[in-house]
Amino acid sequence: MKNPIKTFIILSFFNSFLFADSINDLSLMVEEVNQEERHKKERLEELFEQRMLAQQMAKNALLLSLDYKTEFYKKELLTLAKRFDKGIKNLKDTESQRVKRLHKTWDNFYKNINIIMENYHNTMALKYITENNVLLLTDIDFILRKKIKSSQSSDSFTRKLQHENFMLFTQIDIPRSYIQKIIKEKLMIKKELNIIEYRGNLNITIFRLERLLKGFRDGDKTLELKGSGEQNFLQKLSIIDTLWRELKPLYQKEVLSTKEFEVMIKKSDEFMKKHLDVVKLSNRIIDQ
Amino acid sequence: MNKKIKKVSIIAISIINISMGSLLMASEVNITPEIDSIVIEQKNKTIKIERIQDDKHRLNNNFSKTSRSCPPFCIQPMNIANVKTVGELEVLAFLKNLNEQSHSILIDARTSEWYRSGSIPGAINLPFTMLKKDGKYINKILYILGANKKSSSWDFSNVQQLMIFSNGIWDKQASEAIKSLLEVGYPSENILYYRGGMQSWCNVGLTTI
Repeated sequence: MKNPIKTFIILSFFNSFLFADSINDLSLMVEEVNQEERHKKERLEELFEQRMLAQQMAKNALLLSLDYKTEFYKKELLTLAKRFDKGIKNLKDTESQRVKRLHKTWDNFYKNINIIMENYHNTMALKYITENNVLLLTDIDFILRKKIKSSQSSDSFTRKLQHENFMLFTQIDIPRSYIQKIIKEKLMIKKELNIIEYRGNLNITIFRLERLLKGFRDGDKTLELKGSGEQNFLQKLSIIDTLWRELKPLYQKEVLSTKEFEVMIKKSDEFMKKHLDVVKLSNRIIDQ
Repeated sequence: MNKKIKKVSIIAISIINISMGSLLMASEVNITPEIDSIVIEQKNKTIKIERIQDDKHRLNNNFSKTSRSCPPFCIQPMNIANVKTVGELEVLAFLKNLNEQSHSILIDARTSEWYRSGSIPGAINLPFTMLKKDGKYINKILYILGANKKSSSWDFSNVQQLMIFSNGIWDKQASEAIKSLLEVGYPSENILYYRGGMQSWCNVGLTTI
């Protein structure tokens, strides 16, 4: 005859193993899904970075053409180009016509960057860079939009649930791109290249940047930003607001003195660094 | 004689006052008059679940918020099909039994970002999004939960007892998870719905991890 107590102990022991296994298996599966999500997010973040780099490279080329701190901006341009090149190579979606076109534009762009680094005043290379960085941006934006769409859940409730965070995630890094764009536009005006067009663009970029900053803080229905109540986040944003208040008059001023120009470049770099803190914090808050 | 009675009365009242005072000083924020805390094991760690002992404590996190846009954050019905709805004491009893008899799982059905911001000790995260009938994970999940595939249908006779929760009465992530499980045939008697969720749990100051 079987001993019922012994059987019970063995069964309980077996059950607790099964229980631990179930928990582990489920946790592993959820972790796998989370990993996949993180991977998708990282790919998007890389594209946000590419968007900003495309603007920054054009800005650096223009600064070199003005013989402004050439040693520093030449070194930086080289680093930026290498970073961009690495990011482009990570785009595996080679089937897409848009990705193919992006690669082609980039190959020529990179060649012209090398020319500029050899001769800061090569007008043809500078023209190619300042015109084609827009083409790079357009293609990156197109690929980005496609990737954003595919990374969203197919389930409408989940989409609604994640919508607010998603809108913040996809827009939080844009001010850094705008800062680079504004400086490029200022430099184009300074060099008297397409002045009317770039003046118009500059005003639009300033308006958009200001609206985004306000949206992060107070919310914006059209931009679908809800605003934030997070004290840490608001604190970091207030640093950005202070910098913006100092920068805006300089961006809007028609002609800058040498000192004002220096301040504009320095403060813009500071804005870039401080806003990167905002981006990192925002992504941390979203992940929690 | 009267003087003596008065003196004794004063002493007695003083003793009562002192006792009451020390009783008040020693008062604790218990779960019930009989239970002050429970202890569970999670990932080889011992976790004591109790209420926050500061009787002046106020919530200042996400769960102090009263209003959220609906949809998506709409008030949920008390019952979902035939699934039993439970409260905090049942959750605590369920958690206590997790250590003793197993075969039950407390599921936090929220998406992982919510889970990472704090959950009920002993709960595992299984987002409702992974339980969709036509999703790529549901078969594997059912298998892990003890269901057996028999030709085209599932045999649920050996499945685990699940208790499911999300953020609370304004959040349908738990309802969605339960509906998905019922849709694939998971027996309603093997599911419990903690409707109050994280909001109620935090409202009474119970331990979160």
